[in-house]
Amino acid sequence: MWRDAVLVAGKDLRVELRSRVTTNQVAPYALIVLLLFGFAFDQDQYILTHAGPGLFWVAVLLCSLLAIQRSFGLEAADGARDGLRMSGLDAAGIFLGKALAVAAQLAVLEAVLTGGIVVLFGARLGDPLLLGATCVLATVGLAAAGTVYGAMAAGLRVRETLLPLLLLPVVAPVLLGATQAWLAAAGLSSGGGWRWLTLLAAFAAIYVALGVLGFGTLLEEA
Amino acid sequence: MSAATGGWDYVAGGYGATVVLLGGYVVLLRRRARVLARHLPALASTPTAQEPPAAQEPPAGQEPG
Amino acid sequence: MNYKSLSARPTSNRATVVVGGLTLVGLGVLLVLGLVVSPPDTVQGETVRLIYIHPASATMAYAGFGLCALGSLAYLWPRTRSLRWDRFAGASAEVGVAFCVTCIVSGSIWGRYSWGVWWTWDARLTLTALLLAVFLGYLALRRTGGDPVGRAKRCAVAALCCFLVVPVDHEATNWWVTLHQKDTLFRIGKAPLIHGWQLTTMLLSFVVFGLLFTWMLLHRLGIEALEDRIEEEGYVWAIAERRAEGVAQVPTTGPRRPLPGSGLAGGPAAPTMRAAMPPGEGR
Repeated sequence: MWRDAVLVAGKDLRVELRSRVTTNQVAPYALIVLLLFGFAFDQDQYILTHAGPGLFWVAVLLCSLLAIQRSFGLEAADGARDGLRMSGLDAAGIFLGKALAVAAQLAVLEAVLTGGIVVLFGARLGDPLLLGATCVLATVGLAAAGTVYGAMAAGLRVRETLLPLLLLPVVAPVLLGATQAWLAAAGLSSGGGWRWLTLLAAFAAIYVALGVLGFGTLLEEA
Repeated sequence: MSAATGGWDYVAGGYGATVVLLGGYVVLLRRRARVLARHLPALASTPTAQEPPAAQEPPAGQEPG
Repeated sequence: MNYKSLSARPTSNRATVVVGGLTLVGLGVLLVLGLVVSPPDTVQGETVRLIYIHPASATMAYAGFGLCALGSLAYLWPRTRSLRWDRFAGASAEVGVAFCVTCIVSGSIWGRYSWGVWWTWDARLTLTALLLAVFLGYLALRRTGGDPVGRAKRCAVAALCCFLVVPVDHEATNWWVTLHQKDTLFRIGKAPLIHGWQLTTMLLSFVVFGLLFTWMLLHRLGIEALEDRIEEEGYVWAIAERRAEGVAQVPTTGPRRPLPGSGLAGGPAAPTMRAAMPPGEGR
């Protein structure tokens, strides 16, 4: 399973390295989203500083939609999906591999966005350990849930419009937990940030388990 | 007593909204069922013949023969 | 009268008639008890009467979503795999959504009176709104069409994902409350349960809404069955109909063609559905 996961993740990342869709298209899009937030709040420094973590995670969610659509768009053409299904790779391995590749791209985007909110919004970051742990757990959860839903919508003609409707409400707990943890890390909210990590960890664990168990069903039908 | 009599408008609004929403859903269900039934030859002949505007579909045209 | 109404309602059967009759009687009793017999509350005034619809519809929404998850689980379980379970899951999710909307709207009206706002970021409100959004997504996924078996699998996995949101969100919102909101605004069934008539009426509301839920679910299942029959038999019948049209047009042009006649007399739904049905659903 893990060997298959590494193979699939390697394939997706290699495609990404050669096409550079994430770095050349999604990352600039993320920065544009941050700029738009700046315009929307009329460059009010107080709001931007205090809402920075929330805006950061909203931007991450929007980017994750693009990353997931890209991840399944790779296999949309030339019957590549059938090829993947017939390849004899373990379904759980395919899931983990695709989720891993999405997670790696999201991690890069999060790094870019963190720089963005520090430079553009003047956000304070705080405890790096808490921030890092939040990022890891939230990214795993987003990538796992996104891969499950991406596979669900991949074969459909309405996938571009259906995926946001399906995915965004489901990942709302990630937005909630990660934002609260970042606020706590920056000292902007009372209460421990670490307890929010329990929520993020539970979310990630649930969706990883669901994907490992259910991805075969999703792959074989489409 | 004056405090207790207040709020009837909200009660009416709440009950009215419930009736509209759930009743609307029931109407929707029935309309869907009827529209679907018209597509089934086995069912289509009976309800369309007995609906008030019975002249809308001549049964002879419905039967494929 | 009875026979006529039965044949005009293609999803009716003995069960729906019995449950529907009980529901009607129950709704009548509930209205009398809720609006006339039960006394107003000292704090809430007359608006306490909303408690006879709001918690019951919330419970039915949960019931619908829970049944949807159960049906999906039964579909995914190899031994019980049957499209019947898929239909059951879809039907109960849709009825659940109807009750969820009712719950949110009635709660919002109540909130306008007791808190002065239509909406507040209370834990339970947020949870319910999220549930509604998630299951609207599920229904959208169900409408995508295609191969029924593939759709059933996809939707079953989606329903389980959707239902998983409930406990996760419940935890999240619990923590949220303890972090941000010192007082819970919305304690259903605590203060008003003191009084005898209010308790009776509220319990009755659960029973009556349960009956209404069952009745709606039965009809919705009937619709699913009709849809499946059309998908199975629709081809044959549509071909036969076109052929009959062609045959009819040559000798007698006027009276046999269904379209000009029904286009004038019938409602707009029938011709458009007929036009949309064969290419959209059949192929």
